[in-house]
Amino acid sequence: MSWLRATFVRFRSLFRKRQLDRELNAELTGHLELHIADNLRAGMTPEAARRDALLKLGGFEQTKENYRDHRGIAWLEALLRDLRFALRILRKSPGFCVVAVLALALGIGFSSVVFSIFYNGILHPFTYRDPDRLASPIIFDTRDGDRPFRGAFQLDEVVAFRNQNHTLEDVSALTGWDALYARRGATEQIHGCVVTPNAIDFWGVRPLLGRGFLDHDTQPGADPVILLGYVYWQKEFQGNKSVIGSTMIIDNRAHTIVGVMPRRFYLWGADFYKPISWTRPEPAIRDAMANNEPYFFFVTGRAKKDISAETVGADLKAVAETLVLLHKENYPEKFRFGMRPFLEGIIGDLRRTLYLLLASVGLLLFISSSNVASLLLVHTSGRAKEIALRTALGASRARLIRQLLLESFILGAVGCLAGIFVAYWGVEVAKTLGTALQTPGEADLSLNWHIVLFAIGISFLTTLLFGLSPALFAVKKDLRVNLQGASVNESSSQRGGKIRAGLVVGQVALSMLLLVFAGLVVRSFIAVTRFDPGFSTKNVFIARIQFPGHQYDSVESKHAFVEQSLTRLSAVPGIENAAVAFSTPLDGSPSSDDVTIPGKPHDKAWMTAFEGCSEGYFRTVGLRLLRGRLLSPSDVASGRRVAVVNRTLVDKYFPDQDPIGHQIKFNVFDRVPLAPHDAYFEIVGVVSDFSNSGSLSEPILPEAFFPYTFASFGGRSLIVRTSNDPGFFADTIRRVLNEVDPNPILSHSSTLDVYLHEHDYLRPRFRLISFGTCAAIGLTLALIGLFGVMSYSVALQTQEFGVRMALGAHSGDILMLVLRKGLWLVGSGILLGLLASFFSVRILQSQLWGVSAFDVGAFVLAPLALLAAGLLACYLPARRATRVDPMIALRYE
Amino acid sequence: MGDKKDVWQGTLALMVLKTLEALGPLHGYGIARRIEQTSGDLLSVNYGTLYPALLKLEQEGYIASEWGVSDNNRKAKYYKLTRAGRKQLEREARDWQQTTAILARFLSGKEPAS
Repeated sequence: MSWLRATFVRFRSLFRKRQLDRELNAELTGHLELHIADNLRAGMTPEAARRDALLKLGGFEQTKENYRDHRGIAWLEALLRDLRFALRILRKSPGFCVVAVLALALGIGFSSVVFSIFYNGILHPFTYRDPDRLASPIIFDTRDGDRPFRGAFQLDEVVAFRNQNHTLEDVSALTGWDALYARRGATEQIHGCVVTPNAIDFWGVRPLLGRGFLDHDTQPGADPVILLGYVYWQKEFQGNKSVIGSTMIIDNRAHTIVGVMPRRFYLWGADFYKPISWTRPEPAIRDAMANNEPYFFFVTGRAKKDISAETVGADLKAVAETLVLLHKENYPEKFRFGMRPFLEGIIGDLRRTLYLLLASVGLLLFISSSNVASLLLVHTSGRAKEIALRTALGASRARLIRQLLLESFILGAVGCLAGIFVAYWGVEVAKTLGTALQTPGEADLSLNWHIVLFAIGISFLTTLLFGLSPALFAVKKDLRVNLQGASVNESSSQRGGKIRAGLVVGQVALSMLLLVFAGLVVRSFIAVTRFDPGFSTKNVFIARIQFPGHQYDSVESKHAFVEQSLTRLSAVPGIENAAVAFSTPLDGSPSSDDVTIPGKPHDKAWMTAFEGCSEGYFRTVGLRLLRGRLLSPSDVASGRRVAVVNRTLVDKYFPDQDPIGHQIKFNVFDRVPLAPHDAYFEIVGVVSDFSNSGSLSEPILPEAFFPYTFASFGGRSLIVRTSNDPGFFADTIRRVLNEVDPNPILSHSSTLDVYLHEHDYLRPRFRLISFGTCAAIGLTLALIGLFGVMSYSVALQTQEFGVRMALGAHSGDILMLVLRKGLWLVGSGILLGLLASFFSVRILQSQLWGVSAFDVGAFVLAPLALLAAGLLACYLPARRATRVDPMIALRYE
Repeated sequence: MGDKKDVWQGTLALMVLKTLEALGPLHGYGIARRIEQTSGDLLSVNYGTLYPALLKLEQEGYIASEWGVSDNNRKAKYYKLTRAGRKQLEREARDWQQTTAILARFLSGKEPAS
């Protein structure tokens, strides 16, 4: 342990230098005096005695120096000395420091934000236990090909999977359960999630407040209990903790709130979670629907360690063989089980956007570090004399490099700190983007130590990158030239000038690339928002009608309500048309399936969308009749099996034929218990196309429209076209429906334009914001770099300008001279950037819609913008050059 | 150079410890003279090298120092052995004897008795 003690003592001695020096002095003086006294006693003369004593000691100062080296920690002392010196140097040029730190902070901060979204939103969004081992079974129909058949299971199937499998640690299941919540006289719809009793343990997340589910919660006769979701708890109860133990009337039954789940438990984004007994008797689907009881469940299993998805699938298939007898209609003749990983299902394709964004951020870091590098080059070039002097006085190359690197590292450290602040602020902004990011609801984007570590890591790397080359370069210079040269001028720092110019060209080129990316994303965003979905989305009110199941259990009762409501709505001034359909136009989930058309056999599935609607649908949405007729009121009233199809269907299935009079059957109805089986619809008309695949960016699907009364299943959505802002009509529409019957309620009310903004424009908008920010920062940095280098080169050429002006050059000539040089830098940067863009935009193609990756607009506008901004950055230094007074400039010669 | 110096430093430290054990508290000059007397010319060229060695021993806690007054009434820093120093001396001396014994056997060319 003695070395530890020694280190400690040495470290401490760093701070008591003066006292220790005094003591050493006294000790050595004492030593000499004793020695001299001895020598005198031995008969030497006083001079000889003193000389001998000093000689034997080995020199007074040398001994002290030698002693001091052993006293403290030599390298640490040297470092502290260098540090103090570096700080003094940096303090002398505050402008340079501020710009360098700012450049670093922007680069590091923004990349940390992107990394935070990537790390927290995609790599580790979940707090669930072992999320990588979770997967959901899906039955695939392997009769002809391999198509997903269903991913939802009845509870008895879930129990069988849980009890009879050999490859899973546990199985849990859940399903959405939208229920009516009665409070203070008003009824509203809330979104619950029914889960198996083991859900809390299975997902491995403890409740934030209260308790999880207990065994007796699901016993027959037990009082129903629920756990609240965090977001709903905050919204509805303002995060009040006393909510535990109180009751909520949900679907006419009192439910006791026993706990609140934490924010990062966000399965299905539910308002509340309700347990369901494993042993519930399986209801008939008709009863389940009438009573709003959950019927189909989505299953998640946690695979045992090192068990592959294939093994689990085969295992579940073996279990399912015993279930086929019980659920004959729910299994295809030939099938297999596929497992969809939990992580894959939720994270979606934000991943690819973020990969590209990370790449862009890498470019940004290059820009910002080369920016600081060129600033440092300018800075150290100005110090050439100082460095030469130090070299002449014996400072070693390594020592000087260390000194210069230390300055870079101070800048890097401050930049890193500032960058973390920028990141903190940026993450807060990113959080407000919320849904636009489309990260899972469980994700917590906040800065954590991973992000901070990342920021520190990239700061270190960029510092090495920008610090090392100027340091090496500055030290390599020819000593003689710098000591001789009274002032630094253009010729003496020509090599430095070339490096600086190269760095600026590189920065301009990279920011050109980022600008082209941003330009493409902007163009794509504009294309999406300008896209014509086939009808006008202006002034369309949309909502879902939720019928209380026990009251409206038949087609006829629902139809009676709808019929009366639509009639009354049409009479309201300002309402142009109103209709009801299974779903709203542009809705994210079109139902589509294979169709059978007599006389048209086909091998591959003809995926076709279908919509049940009232006769006013076409007018309300604004679809044009192209052939035949539309649905008539009597078709709808009687649920007649007739269909109006869209143009795409005709083009695809009846390329050179009149479709009117042909029959079409949707095979999916044969599998839906409540739908008419073997039902053929007669095509009576053709209407114009509109975007119906759930996303504007997807191609239009063939689609058929039937009277919505042909079956009792399916939702009922209200679509109302108004003469002006549909928001004004929301209350009126609600009141009209209330007059018909107060029990059905409207939920999800919105307008089509708002819906578009919240769905189809989200992803493009996120890309717009992120790539746009990236390009903006890149451009700013490149301009700062350009400005710095131009300013410096103007300063170096002051004498030359002075001479030129003395010889009769006009200020306009000088301006052109400087601008030409700037233009050359910007121009070569732009050309290089265009070249790079040309070869790399292809990877952006997946992020674009409605524009080609080689969009002329982006490829013309981006260089023009860069050119204009670049000229401005050159103009300011150039104007300074024209103000050079020849007399003053020459005096320095 | 470095190795030789290390050996020298190690030897010097051992000699300092032994001197302090034999003579009790002593100032730097006294230690230097004593070592010079017993080791011949070893230290005579450079008393100064003693001081870093003293510093190192003190940093390691084997000796302690305090200011006192010398025989001829001068202020001097006196060093004395600490308990850790005494143990270190035993250990070092043993090691040293072993090393020299091995070296002596080796250099004399005799095979070790096996």
